[in-house]
Amino acid sequence: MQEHTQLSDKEITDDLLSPVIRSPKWFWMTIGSLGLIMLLGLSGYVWELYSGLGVTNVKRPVYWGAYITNFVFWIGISHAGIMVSAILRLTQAEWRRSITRAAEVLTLFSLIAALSNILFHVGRPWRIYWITPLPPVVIGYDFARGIWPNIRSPFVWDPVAVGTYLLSTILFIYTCLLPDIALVRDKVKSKIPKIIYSVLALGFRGTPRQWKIQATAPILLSALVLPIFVSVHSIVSWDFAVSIAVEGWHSTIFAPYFIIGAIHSGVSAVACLMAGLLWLYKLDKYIKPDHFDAIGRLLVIVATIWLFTLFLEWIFALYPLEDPEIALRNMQVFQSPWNYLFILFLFTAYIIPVSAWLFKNIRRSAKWMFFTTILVNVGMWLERFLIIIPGLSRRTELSFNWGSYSPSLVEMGLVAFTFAFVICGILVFARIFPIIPPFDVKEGMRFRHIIKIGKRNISAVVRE
Amino acid sequence: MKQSKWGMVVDLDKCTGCQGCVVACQAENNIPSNEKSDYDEDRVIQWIRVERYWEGTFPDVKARFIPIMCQHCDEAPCEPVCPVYATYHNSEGLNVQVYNRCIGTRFCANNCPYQVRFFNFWEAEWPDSLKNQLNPDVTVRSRGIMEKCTFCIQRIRRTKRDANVNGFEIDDGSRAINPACVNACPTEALVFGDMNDSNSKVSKIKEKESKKSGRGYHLMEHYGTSPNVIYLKKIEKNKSHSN
Amino acid sequence: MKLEYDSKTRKGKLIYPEKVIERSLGKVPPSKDLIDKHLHKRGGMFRISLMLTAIFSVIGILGTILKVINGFDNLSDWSVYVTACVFIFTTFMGAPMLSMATKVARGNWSRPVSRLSEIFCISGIAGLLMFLPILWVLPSLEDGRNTLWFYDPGKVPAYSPHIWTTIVMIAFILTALALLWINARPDFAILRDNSKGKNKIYSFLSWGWVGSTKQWNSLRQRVSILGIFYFMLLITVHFCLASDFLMTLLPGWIDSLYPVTQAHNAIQGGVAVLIIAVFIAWKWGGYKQYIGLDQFWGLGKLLFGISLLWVWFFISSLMVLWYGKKPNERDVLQILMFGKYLPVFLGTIFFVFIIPFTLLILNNVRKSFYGPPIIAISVLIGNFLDRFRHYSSAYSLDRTIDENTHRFANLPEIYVPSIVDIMVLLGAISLPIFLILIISKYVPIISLWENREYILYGSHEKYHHTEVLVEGKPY
Repeated sequence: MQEHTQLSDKEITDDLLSPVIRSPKWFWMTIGSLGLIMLLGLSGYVWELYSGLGVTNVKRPVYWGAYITNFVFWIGISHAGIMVSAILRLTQAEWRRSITRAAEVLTLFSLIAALSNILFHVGRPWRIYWITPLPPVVIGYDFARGIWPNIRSPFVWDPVAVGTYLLSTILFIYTCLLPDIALVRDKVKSKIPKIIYSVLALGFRGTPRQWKIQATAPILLSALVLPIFVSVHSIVSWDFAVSIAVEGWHSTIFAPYFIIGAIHSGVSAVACLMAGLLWLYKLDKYIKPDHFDAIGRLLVIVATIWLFTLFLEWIFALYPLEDPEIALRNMQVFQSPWNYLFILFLFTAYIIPVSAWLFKNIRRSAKWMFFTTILVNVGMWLERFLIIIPGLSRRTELSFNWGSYSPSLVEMGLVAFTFAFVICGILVFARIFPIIPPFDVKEGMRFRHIIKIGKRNISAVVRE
Repeated sequence: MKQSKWGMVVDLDKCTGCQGCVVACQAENNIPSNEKSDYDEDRVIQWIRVERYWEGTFPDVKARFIPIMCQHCDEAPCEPVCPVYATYHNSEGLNVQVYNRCIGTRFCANNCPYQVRFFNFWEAEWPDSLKNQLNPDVTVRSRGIMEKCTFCIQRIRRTKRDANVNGFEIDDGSRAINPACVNACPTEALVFGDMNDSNSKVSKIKEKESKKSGRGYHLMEHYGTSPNVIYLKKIEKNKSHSN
Repeated sequence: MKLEYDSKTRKGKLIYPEKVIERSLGKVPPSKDLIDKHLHKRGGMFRISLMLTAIFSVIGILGTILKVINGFDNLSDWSVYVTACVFIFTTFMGAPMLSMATKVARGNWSRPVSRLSEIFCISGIAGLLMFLPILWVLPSLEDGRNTLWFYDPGKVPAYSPHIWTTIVMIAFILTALALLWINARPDFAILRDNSKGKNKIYSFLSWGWVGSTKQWNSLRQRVSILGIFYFMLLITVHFCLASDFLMTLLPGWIDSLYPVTQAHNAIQGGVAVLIIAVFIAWKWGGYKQYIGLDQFWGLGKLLFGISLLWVWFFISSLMVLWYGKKPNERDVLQILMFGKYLPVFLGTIFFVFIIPFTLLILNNVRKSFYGPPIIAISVLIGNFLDRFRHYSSAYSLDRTIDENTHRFANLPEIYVPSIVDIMVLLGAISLPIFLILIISKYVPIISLWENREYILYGSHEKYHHTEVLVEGKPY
């Protein structure tokens, strides 16, 4: 990391707090248009609730459709926050400092988006709480109905894992947010916000003891959150992998395959978000080409490992040479429209972006990274779609029941809703709290060092 | 009294593909009528269906029929994946669906190799003329939940209850206990009974046909689901054929 | 002080390590002490261990000859032999990975131990020698087993598994040796200039190294490209070995994760043997002032992380097979885990996961000289048991399947090693160590140039009231 602008504390405070103090011009317009998309999507959901799941295009035998695809996609995106935040924190990578908060916030909102897909998906969403273990009688009503959830079902592991993940993400964000809330509390002028920020800051005054706790807590939380991070997507993958009846799902590689795919799409989403924020808030003093370069290099490795797991999945599905499996793979690769989707998926998820990232100029350009990472996420959405739908089209021996699927308007609307929701959520968050952590950046400025080697001055880092 | 274990035998040699079982099931179990739009959308509900396969090329073509209903597997893959115990195995070897518990995740349907589980996409509706023919012993399912063949559990229950009250033995092959499809089958291709009772018709067929020389097989045995429905191969003149 | 690259104006040049090192390595002369230590006559311990490993290697070779005389027809006879051969690939040949990974990631702490890890490359030769007889043991594709090569008589050679695995393995070993040589070239040059007796060998080995910018540049490039290539080949070797020499012999075993698990186990075993090697160099090799707590700490953390990852791979695979409950999956679990091989399986879990996890989770154990080596030994034992569990059961299996139940007609007894097998085992462990000891006479086991870099980039400076470590991060 040689690209570095040494800034004074005051400059950092002024720069990073300005979007919090007053809204930028584009803010309300963007929120408004995103809100419109969300409203349209939600009206589709109201219709679905009113008349039944018939308004979607799921049918026998493709009982899972765009909602589950979207659920897996957003769970995948949510891995970015912890990936960037926790792993880079534990390995003491200096370049994480200005991007951790954005990544964590992305995790938060994408998790909520993912969970909303479950509500869209189930037949009786008003009974969804039945999958949680409940106390026998609350306020005179027996919510549990004398029955415990079936802990053998991956759909019970899911809420446990995702719920823990959501809670720990909120905890994580809040812990890292405390000094910044205190900072905003001190800077904000108007009365009511000041009171709210004061309450949220939990009396953070910046005493040495508070700072000490503040410094240890995120590291501890990172270490604790990593197993959760691994378990969440493993469990999501087991939603599919435990099904013996669906060809192409029952594969042991699924957990690593999903995790590495999640990291691929998630880190891409973080890069995309960084480029977006850089452009929206003019953060070029904080987000440097070096950041994109580092992420680009990381992504090349991650994407290649992901491709290898994809290869393993295919080769071990094919090698027993069972007819249903061959029929399924045949459908995925040779039958329209799946073949077009498959080619599109391969090109967007791997071939185009990774070959682009091999060039340093592309890695170091925010604009290029923005578009290539969007491509990756298009590809990764398709990947999930191509795992779920062709598998469920049931190319089994009972060829009488072969089916197909394409999403309906309501489903597309709700998928659009989740995207709008996540973008909107991040923008609103950035309006309320600083999206780049001033205290972390200031800390980074202090750890910065230069040592002299021979005739050269080399940038260096102070290690605790 | 010995615990029953209900099972069925489907003799493919006798099946003519007349669809009588399908209609009987429809009437007995309050299944909403399948209309053209339902077929177009792939959303028909048929607890038992007759699959038709063509064999050979024109003009030497043969039609093959195979009725498929819930196999009531001993190792049912649909059971462990249900998060709310809406589907479970009861003590009589039946794979039961509890409608009131179901929340409609449709996981069970995905994990069924035989694809005999159906989802209620819409609220069930009947034309006015048919409303009075609904079977009072069977729940009308609301939308958003799964349903499937129960081996007409209401008939089993009623017969057992009557037998208890009146103090007579349950007659294995009686019309009272047989599911609707078995009663409706004109060629007696379907046989229903207690697998645990060695004198029952199904047990005898099972014993005879599960030998090496026999015609019996389970559908998709390699999934290891150990179903309680036994299929008997069609007898070929020249060659033996299995599905 | 100002950096040469001004990021505000984006002017100036970005600095790369090689640009630093050629101009400034002169500031830190090669450590006289290290050179002396290397050129110094080895002690009695060294000679005794050399003798012992040589004797054991000869015993192993004798055992192999006895095996070959016995014939190749009986698969189960060879199960321990296969285990021993794969054990070399899952331990010794995984060790160089550490040096490659930290070089690509530009880590600082591993510089004192990177040469020790590279030196393990030589053990590949032992592995290759042991692998050759197996090529005759493994049946060709004509017996109708499944294969990665989608066997089609006449179109695909019936010996494609043999051919491809050998090619990949040779490429793997050659890459490893090339990496060792490239990394040691600057050291050979230093030795050429400083030693008196072995001048000729070193000037040949250093191949005209003078330390120009161009040479440093190409060294960096070659190391990172070959390092990545090495990693890919490691995965490929284990992919080929695990699928065509193991999985396809066990009908019904369709576990797409297993090749990855084995490759991962190889890296775990590699780190474990490396820890032991580092410990020996520290304790008896006389390198106490060069290898510090930092290295043990770093390796301990690595082993901890890898062990956690291993158990995740293991669970991912077990979960799917367990839940699936198909007849073939029950069979596989029955054979590999819960049947006769249950004790071996429990041993694997205990040594490979439970011991490292429960002990290395404590920072005091990680950050000690004696903790990591002891755990490394446990990992190696577990690693061997794991190989035994898989390879032995697959090689001693009767592959007939019952038509009614779709399950194996008869499960194998657990294979009890004979005396010849134990001879082979001894040889399989000694031969690589023997080769490593021999080569350590010629290649310094603490990299001279990386030692200089280590001193160059890390400096202790005063920071307010305390002294901190400042780490140079060129790019």
